[in-house]
Amino acid sequence: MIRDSLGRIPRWLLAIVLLGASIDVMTALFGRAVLQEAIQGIVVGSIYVLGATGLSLLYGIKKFANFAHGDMMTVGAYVAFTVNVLFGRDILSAVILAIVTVALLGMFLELSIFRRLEGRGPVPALIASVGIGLVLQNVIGTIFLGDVRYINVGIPADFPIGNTGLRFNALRGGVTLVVSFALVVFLHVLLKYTTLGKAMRACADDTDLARTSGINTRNVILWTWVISGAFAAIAGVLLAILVNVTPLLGFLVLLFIFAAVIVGGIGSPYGAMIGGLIIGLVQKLSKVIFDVIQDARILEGGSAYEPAGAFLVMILVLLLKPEGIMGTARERMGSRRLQIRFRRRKKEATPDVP
Amino acid sequence: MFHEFLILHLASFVIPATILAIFALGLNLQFGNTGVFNAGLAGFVAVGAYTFGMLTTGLVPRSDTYPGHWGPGTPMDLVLAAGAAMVLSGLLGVLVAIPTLRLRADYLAIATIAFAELVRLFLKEERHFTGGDQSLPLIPRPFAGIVPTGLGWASDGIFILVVGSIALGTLLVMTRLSRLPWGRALRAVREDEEAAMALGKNAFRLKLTAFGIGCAIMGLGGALVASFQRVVLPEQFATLLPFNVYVAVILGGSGNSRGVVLGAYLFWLFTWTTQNLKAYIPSDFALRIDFVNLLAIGLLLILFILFRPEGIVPEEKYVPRAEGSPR
Amino acid sequence: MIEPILEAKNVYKRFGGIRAVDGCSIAVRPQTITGLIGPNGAGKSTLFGVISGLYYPDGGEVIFDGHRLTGLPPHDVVRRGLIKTFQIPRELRNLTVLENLLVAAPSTAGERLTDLVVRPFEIRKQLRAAIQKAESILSVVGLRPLRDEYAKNLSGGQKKLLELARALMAEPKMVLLDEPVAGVNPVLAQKILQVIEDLRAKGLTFCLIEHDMDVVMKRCGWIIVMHQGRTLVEGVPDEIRSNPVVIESYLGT
Repeated sequence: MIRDSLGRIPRWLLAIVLLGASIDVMTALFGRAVLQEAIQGIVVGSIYVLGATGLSLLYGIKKFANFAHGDMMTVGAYVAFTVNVLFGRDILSAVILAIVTVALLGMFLELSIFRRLEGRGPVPALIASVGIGLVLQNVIGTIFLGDVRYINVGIPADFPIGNTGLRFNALRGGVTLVVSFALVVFLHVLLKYTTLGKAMRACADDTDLARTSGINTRNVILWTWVISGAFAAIAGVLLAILVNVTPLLGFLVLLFIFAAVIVGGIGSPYGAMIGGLIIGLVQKLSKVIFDVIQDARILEGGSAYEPAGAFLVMILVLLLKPEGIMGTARERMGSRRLQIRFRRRKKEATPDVP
Repeated sequence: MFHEFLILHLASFVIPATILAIFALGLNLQFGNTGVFNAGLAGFVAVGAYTFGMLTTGLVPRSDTYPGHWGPGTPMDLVLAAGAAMVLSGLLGVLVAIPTLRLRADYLAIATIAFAELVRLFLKEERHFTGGDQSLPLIPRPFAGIVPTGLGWASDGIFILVVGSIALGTLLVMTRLSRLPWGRALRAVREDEEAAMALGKNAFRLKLTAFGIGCAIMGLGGALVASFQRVVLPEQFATLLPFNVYVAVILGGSGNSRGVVLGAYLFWLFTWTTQNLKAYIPSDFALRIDFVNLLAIGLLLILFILFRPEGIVPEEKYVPRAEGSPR
Repeated sequence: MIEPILEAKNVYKRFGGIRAVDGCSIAVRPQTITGLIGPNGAGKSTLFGVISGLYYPDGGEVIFDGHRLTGLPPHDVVRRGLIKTFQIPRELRNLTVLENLLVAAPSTAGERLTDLVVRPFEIRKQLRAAIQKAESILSVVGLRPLRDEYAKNLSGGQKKLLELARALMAEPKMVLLDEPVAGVNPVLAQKILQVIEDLRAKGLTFCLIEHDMDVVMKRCGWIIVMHQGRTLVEGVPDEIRSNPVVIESYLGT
């Protein structure tokens, strides 16, 4: 009976509730540092959300993992940097130009490269995207060299939250959260209520069927690149504000963004939103746990293992539920023993097979 | 004097190229023949390198200048240590493969990259076990008795011979393996896994074995890196290595053992030339040339994948001589 | 009463919410050509998939030649002597026609790496024998001239022939054929069907899914009709041909 009522709660809500509960438990065990890390986790996670949603939209329709996505974020950051710092304009124009540049870049890549690779499976496109990522990184490196730069925007001091002892930065934290939230809402409205959004969902579901139903799949694909690119550009700028501007900026977070996409459910933009938050939180919260492990002298490194927490969660998801939180299970060929084990358990629980 | 100069320069080209060729042979078995996209090869190389380094230098205790690293009481013989490196990398490969081989190619790539990252983090953070960031030092070269200082042209010359013969041996073994029915079964799995299973092939076991052997070869290459450089650092295996190996395989000829060796040499020729050019060009260009190098390689990769995915030397076609005798 | 060589008992297979196979039982007698017919969506290919190990059943049993096949993966099923072809040919594209057949050869030396150590001299010998056998099968189906051609370069009809040739190479006791002559020109189709009949006479058992009623009625000794995931009726061609229930099932869907 409990299983029945549990089945009615949407999965993403369950994930959020579990997450909140874990934070509660951890705070009880480890103190206020947990909450500070949780705040950082949500901020970083929001950036992952933007990156992951773009990546997921693209994966849903083009069926390949875009390894250049991180470098497209970097391009956005550098365009914004150029406009903002080198040309002295305000940050808003910088962001707009960044969006336009990366969106156009995405369209160009689709028309020149990825269209030709259709029908060859996920691997050639993946390899091509690796090459593209390398080209982007090194074009930037050739022009700007590898020096660390910073976006020219006044960073206010952290302000304390009431008397909880927690600190929060209005620009780094606040703007990131607000912008990400706004874009998430925008995407939701787009997908659910606009013609384009419905066409995008149809194409992601079954491209051939969508085409024969009269949808102009070529255009939908281009629009997907535009949106994916725009989100990447904004994520890149936010990341640049949070950290700094280097040629490897986006590439370094690419693995986290992939983790977010996988945990949330590849091909599902809503999954990417949940996944982004989860990965960001897990990444920062695991610092606390690793510090404890360090104190217990089991492992030596402490909070430096923070990526490990996120990767371990991703690996767990890949092994146990590769379709992610919002994905749907499909018949899997390999590892039949694992299949069989789950099957037996399911048979006992739901006896609808006579 | 001249021969010293010649050998030193030759070594700086030949040795890394040959070690890269060994990596490429390992990846060719996994990716070229079997279609498994192992993007985390850096992890297996690093394990091989550190295993070799730790076993051949023995335990080094903590000191003011060095965090210390684990090792056996007495340093192990180089050949045994290399063997141990291969075994450990291979076993680790099998362990990683068991849960991940059922994933589709792009998921597998991401999972293996995550694995390699975890390895790198471990090697870097467990400073008193591995020496951490400070680089595990003083790894011996083979036949150190002949050249005790372990430096200089004579040692490099010996190393060229050692690494060359190992690479040749690996090439011969890989060629033989790919011409066996086993190799053909791998290619069948690569082409269409379900169809191969429907024809009686145990795809999982085939992929697992190929993956394990490939990782063992990478471990061997890692040991050679350790012996050549005489130090190992966690960072050196992270960023560019997997990419270099893939370029060698794809440009050279995915599926063809000799092709990927050629690919390794060509790739390294390009990079080595760029690096040596730095001294002769104006400093403005010199700063940028590394970026330009990588940019060119990225472009080559895109062009090859678009227009010549089989590489320079495509996979050889199986045509038995008349009389039905195998090639 | 002859023992059936293949029995599927009460097989269930669900995909998502759809029950593709819904409590289906069939029995095939040895050395026969049995037809499996029914309207689209009746579950015929899915049943083949469960029997051959491509799908893991949600319920039921599969017994072949005295062995329990239920839940075994495809490669184990093939080793027991039962092989299935694909409705849409799945040629190994970048292997030659000859290699496609060599892959199907039953346990040749050289497939396990340990053979290199344990029986190195067998490898060359068995490979030679396998090549000769492959060439003779190719001659029978008429693909011998294309022996060294990459499978991806074959025409549709040739790929169908390759599917059949590969299955025969595996030295099976029984073959499940999924639409072996669909889309094949009539002359070639007759040739294929004659090959099948000749092999049946030599001891092989065949079960085939076909939509061409002429072929089914003429070539099959026994016909099983499926409808909505279950067996509807079975019998000799004359009985089935005039059975109103069968006609209605085709019209109804």
